[in-house]
Amino acid sequence: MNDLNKNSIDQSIAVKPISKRVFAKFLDVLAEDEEMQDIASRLKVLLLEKDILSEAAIKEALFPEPKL
Amino acid sequence: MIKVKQIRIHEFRGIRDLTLNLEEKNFAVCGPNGTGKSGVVDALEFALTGEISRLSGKGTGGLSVKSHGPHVDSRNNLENSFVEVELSISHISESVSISRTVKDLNTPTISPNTPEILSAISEAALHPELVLSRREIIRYVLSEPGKRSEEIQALLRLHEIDEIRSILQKISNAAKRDCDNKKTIKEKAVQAVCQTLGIAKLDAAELLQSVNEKRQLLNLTPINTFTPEVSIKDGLITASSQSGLSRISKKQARDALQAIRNHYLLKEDPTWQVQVASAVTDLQALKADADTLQHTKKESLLRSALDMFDENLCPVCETQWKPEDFRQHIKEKLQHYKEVTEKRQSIEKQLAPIAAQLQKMSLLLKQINFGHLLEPTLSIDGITAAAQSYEQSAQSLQGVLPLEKAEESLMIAADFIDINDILKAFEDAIAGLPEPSAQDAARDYLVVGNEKILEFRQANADHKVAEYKSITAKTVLDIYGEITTNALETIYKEVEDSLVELYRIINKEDESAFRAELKPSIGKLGFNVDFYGRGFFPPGAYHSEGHQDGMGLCLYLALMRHLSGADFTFAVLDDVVMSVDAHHRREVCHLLKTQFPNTQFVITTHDRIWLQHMQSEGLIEKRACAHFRKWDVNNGPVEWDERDIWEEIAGNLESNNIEIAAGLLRRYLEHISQEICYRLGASVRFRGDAQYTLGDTLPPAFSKMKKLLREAKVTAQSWDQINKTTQILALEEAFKNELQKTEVDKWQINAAVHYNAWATLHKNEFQIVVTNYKNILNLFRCETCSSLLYISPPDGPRDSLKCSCGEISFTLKQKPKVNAQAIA
Repeated sequence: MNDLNKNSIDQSIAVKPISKRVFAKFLDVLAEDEEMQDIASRLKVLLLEKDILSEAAIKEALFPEPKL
Repeated sequence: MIKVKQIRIHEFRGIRDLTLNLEEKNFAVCGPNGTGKSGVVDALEFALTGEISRLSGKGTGGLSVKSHGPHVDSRNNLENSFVEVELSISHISESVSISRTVKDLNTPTISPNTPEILSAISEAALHPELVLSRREIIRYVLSEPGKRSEEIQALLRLHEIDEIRSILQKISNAAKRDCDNKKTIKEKAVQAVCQTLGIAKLDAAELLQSVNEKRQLLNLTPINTFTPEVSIKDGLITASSQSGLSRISKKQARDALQAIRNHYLLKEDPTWQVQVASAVTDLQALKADADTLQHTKKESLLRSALDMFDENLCPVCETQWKPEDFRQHIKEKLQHYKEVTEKRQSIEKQLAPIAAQLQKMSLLLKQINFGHLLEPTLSIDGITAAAQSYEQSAQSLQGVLPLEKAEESLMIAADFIDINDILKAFEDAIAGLPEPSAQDAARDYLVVGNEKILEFRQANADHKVAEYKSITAKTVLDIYGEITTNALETIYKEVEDSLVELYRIINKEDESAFRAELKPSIGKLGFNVDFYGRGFFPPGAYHSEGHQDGMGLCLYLALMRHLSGADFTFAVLDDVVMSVDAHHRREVCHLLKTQFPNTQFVITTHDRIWLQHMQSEGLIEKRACAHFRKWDVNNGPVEWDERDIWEEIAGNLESNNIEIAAGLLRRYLEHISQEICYRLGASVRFRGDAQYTLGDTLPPAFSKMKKLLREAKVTAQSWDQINKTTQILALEEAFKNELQKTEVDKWQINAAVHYNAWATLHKNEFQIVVTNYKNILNLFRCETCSSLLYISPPDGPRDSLKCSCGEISFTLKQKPKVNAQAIA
């Protein structure tokens, strides 16, 4: 392997789109704040699992309305 | 992830029917302009994505895949226009085929169609960037920062990051606005509590003292601690038969009416009058720019237009402009917007206190809601209408626009609404009420006070929730902003580093210290490159077009490496190095071969020499190319009958075209002898016009080979390498024999055997010449990898004579001689 390949990004994570890698990092840091853990979990479902990026869904993830 | 094994193109673009076997290897498509190379590129893109980027984007108005994808004679028979590709997918063992017709371009037939394969094909379809043409190079390298950012963000698929940032920003702004509103409501509720209970500030001790005085008058137990559950009227309803809810508190009513009277005095205040008059004057002055005010969004459009301007056409209306005129025009407009915006901000500040007073008047009037409790009853319609009018006026002044509404509101602020008669009627009616007893007053105090406390508690709770949401939304946004900014900076830094390394490889002789800067900012991506240590400049500033092509190629490769990593397995380079000179093309071959060994490149070129470079550098195998000779609308591209030069020569010999065969041999020998001289470091007589003939290069090439073999033999003997010595001796002997047959070494002294005479030879005579050259040139190649032998390193003291695969590796460093005397 040449130097350039050694220095290049981790091939195993390169498969994931860059935006998803950035989202994952953001959610990890967000979850480090104890008060933000629930929000991080809900956002994770949207951004990484279901690929839902709508404003309404994200707002609901931040401030869920109580289910009456 | 994918590699192409075979493609069949039928009635598509300029091609009638063509099958190419790519065999998952690098492949070249060569031919003069207009012979159908682009048709192959379009077909590959179409098969994988359903798109043809050549038919979309700027300057392609009116073109579409449906209308212009089929061969011109099949434009009414769309199902007959199709492309079939056979692929391999890295993690799937079986071959996959995709067949896509222009008729159903979005629904290809994929076989097998397992979910895993469909997912892989969908992923590939998301990468229209698999084709790099000079068009993309210009977009990446030479475009304005805003446009470049768009292009590269689209290529890296980063738009989702911006989308989420925008959504979080919106949520945070809305939460902040809501929090501010709730805070205002809470502050008003506090004021109402204090005013009703007659206390200076909302302090529990002061409140309890005042409340307990009133409770004592009513023989109610005092409240010791003021908690959220406590009601200051606890025990009141059971202690008295009067609820107090249907009575008018004379004092409260009187105070409310007096507060309105007091507020109306503002109208006579000279300071207020000046304040309102001044606002009227400024507002009227602003009316001259009413249109500008209503289209402030145009400002961002103008800024984008500046970014997107291509030095020729306006990006909005495509009107042609001189660059300096366009910039001046937009600059003047932006300056005007700036001035108007400043005026608007100034008047907003002027209007804010006036709006606040009108809002207060509205609230005061709304307290006069007891007309139905009076005897006789009094209508509050006039009061309600005035309250609404004040409230609407306050809102108009806060929004400024439309200016006419704001102007009307200022008239109300100047004159106030005349409600004197209504107020007088209420004042008289209240004055006629009997004075309340101390107990009645205490009861009113507790009942109304409790209502205000409840309102305050609700407002306080609402504010707390809004505050939590505002802080939470801001925290999430801040963390997101920090992470994404760092991530994008890291991504661009990695791409920048990769670009620099790749570019240095193809320009190691003249720009080994090359540096570049990719600087992201909001919505833009700056790209500057070092120019021989003289500073950083845009790529188009000083670098030649050839260097710019090199930069574009390297930036593309760096981006693709970052985007796809190990999945960067397929790319089409569509005539992208046409401005790059022969030497740097060799380095491009080396770069692609060594840095991207797992990527299948399909490379188009109109330059036959570039094709030969790719072959001689081992980037593409000899038969891994389609060589188009001509094209016509009826038949499409026509390939050379033989793809190998020797077959081509043999074909001409067969047809007794000695002159053509001789010309082919001479041109090939000119090319290959220059290659050999370059690789073996042969000394060639310098020519000022750089027009080297075969006589200049072939003899030194053969002579150098002879010399190197001799050196290699002596060296192998010095190291006692018996097998190596035997191998070299055999090669040397073969070379010597073939050399004698070609008689190249006699060219300088015997013009009769010179190549100029080939065209006059008979078929059989020339056949011998061809065979001799073919045999000797084979000795310059490795039998295993077919690459030409070369000396390593190319510069400085030589270490060895070798081939690309290592099968041939003859050291040229002799064993040092031992000094016998020194040992003794």
